[in-house]
Amino acid sequence: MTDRSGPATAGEATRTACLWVPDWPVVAALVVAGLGPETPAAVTGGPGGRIIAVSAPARSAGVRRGMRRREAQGRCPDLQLWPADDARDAREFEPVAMAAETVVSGLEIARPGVLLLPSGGAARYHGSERDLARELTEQVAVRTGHECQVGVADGFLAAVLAAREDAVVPPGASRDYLASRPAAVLVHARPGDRALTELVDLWRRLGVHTLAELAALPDAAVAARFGDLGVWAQRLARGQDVRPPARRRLEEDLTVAEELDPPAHRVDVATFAARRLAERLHDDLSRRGLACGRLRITARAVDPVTGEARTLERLWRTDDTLGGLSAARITDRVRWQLEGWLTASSLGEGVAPAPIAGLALAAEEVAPAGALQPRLWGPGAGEDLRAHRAVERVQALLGGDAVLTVRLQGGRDPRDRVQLVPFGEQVPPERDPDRPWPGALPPPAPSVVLPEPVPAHVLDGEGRPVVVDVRLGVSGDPARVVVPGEGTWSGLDAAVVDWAGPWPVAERWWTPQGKRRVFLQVVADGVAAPALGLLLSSSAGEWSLEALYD
Amino acid sequence: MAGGPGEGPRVLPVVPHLAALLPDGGLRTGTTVGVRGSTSLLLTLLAEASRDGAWTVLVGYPAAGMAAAADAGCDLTRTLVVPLPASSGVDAPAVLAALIDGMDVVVIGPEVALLEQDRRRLTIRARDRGTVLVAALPTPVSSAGSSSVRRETGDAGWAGAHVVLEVTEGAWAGTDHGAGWLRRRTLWVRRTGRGSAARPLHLNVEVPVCRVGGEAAGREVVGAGADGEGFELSGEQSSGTRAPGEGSASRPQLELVG
Repeated sequence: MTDRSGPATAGEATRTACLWVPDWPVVAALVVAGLGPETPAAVTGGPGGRIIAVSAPARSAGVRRGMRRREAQGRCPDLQLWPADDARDAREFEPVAMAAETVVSGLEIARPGVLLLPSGGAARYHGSERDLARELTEQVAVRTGHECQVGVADGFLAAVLAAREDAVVPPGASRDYLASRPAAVLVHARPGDRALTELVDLWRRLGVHTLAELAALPDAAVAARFGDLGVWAQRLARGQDVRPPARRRLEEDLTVAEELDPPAHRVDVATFAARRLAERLHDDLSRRGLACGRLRITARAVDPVTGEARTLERLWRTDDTLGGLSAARITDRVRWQLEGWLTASSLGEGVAPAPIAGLALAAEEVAPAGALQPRLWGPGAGEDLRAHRAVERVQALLGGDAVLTVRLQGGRDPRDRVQLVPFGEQVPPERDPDRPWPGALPPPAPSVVLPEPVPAHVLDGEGRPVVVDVRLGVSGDPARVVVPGEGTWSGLDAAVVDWAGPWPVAERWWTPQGKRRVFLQVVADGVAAPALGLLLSSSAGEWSLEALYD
Repeated sequence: MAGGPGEGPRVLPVVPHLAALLPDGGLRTGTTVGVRGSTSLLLTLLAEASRDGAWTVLVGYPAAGMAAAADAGCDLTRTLVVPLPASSGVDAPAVLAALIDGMDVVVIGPEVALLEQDRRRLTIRARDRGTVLVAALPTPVSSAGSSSVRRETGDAGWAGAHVVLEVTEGAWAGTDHGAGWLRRRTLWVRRTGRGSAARPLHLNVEVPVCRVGGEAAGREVVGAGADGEGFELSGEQSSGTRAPGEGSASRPQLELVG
């Protein structure tokens, strides 16, 4: 407050309007679930799965941010809970951004739930800043049904805070508007940032309570003591902008579609239509000088008997910026996908493949072509492209599912820990690898994991089968492991040198797919395999060989 | 990375304590390396090159434990798997040739059906393209019939391989009759090959089965350099005596056995 005429104040803060949809994560989750805003709902996330966003009815029932879910459910028994999902938040916010774009031409999504736009020109066009705010609120409400609030002020932080109060701060008054507020409001500029929360707490303990006090601190001292985050916070506290809001240029997703009449039963018939679509899409893209990041393939399958329609959809990441998406490559992608859909295997047991009556291709994440450049040096310069080309050749030879990428996921046994995904396909991980997974087998992971467990016999010193009882008592020390039968892994007959275990793993026992197993590690010294580690599992008294440590 | 025009053969790095196993201290581009008897040795060989940016593909190796590969240090974002089931009747040499053109390291699993002339052609192609070919030779487990099979490079070998690493003996440490778990693997490796690798060399290697523990990656090798050559054995194998290896969990990771 002391040096209002400081050199950095004037002219740096852009007149900014901020559009804020309260409790966005909950609103988005409600939209996806098809529930109305009157439902008490909350979104959980972060460490410990605490509540991070609450809908208004839940809030009036006493549910607050930061509560444990059990406590929240105690206060509001019919509370709907969803885990946080950034993708869902961002995706569902797109209609709001498009509604706002009917009022103003360029805007920036600060984060799902918050839109920023430079209000100068737009306010002149619509008459005044209040008219602009009213127009934005109306259009968002009419087109999406969400309630939002708009605030206008100088600079980012003041605009965000003004939006929370649905206020218009007069030009030049933003610094006073901010001055008396507690420093903790900085959290609204960057929610969920632990470092900022800790910094604000530190300032409180140091006696810096309000934004005015923070703004009055010497610049150099703030930079030296609190680093970049401190400088950022001080700039915001002074009502300055870190940078003016960037206008985004919206490129719409391109979609081409075609009805197939009569419906296609065979892959080649459907591929013929797909080739036409691919050429149209490719022409559209290249005519506008655009490249797409993802290709969405949608097919409508109609059951020939009942006439029931089902929509099949798959998303492919194209890495277009690297290689240039040709019509032939789009056709290949679609053909692999159609092969999957028109053969029963991917539809699950007992479901006959339905003929495809309609096909649509959509280019998503559209951006001007050539915006992304491969690196000149280091990994990823040329060999990524070279490798991608080789993979595409192999996919063209063998089909789309022939080349798999590997991803680690959560799981307890070595087979569960690996997820194989066809190259180029976008599939979310089945299980979160960052969860603790209690009972998981200790590292190192076995170097050979049998594709299918093979039945085995584990015998004790007197040739009797080793049995593990419910209390994990072993009937006798394992002395011999025999893998009977014919096959790649069969014929093993080895003496046990040492062993470890048994370790019980009961997974999903509350579902029909539940598995209860007991694992045993064995060091076997056979005629041909000296000191080979074996991983054996026992389920319902039957042993099987799961993996080898060789 | 591998074999651009006007570029001599490069050497892809390997984990330091495996460097002494290879004549160039790493995987020289364009060469063929055969590994027999230990998948963990094979995966560990790949790890450092993969972290360095090499694209790796495992062809016809459905049994390879990818969790173990990740633990060994492979970068899974640049690791691909082509299962290539033998029953599907695909043309394995054509697929391998396409992959050799694009990938930096191609691992050929034991389930790929190849003829002798296919192997020769693939070796030549890899040399031209500057790709490292790693052949997983059939493990003794699958041919458990006789112990002698393991020692001789019979028909299942890769005739043109520049370096063949064979595990002749091994030991696990960490278990104790029900307690503990498998922790550390010591391998007796015999190296044969052509050219500078022609003289057989016997090395004792501890496989860093897990990078997560930090222990294996931290400790470095004492004498993992060219000075190891002086101690090499000419051809005899001390296969009968396992004595030096028992209870060896705490000693340095690599030593020359002679």
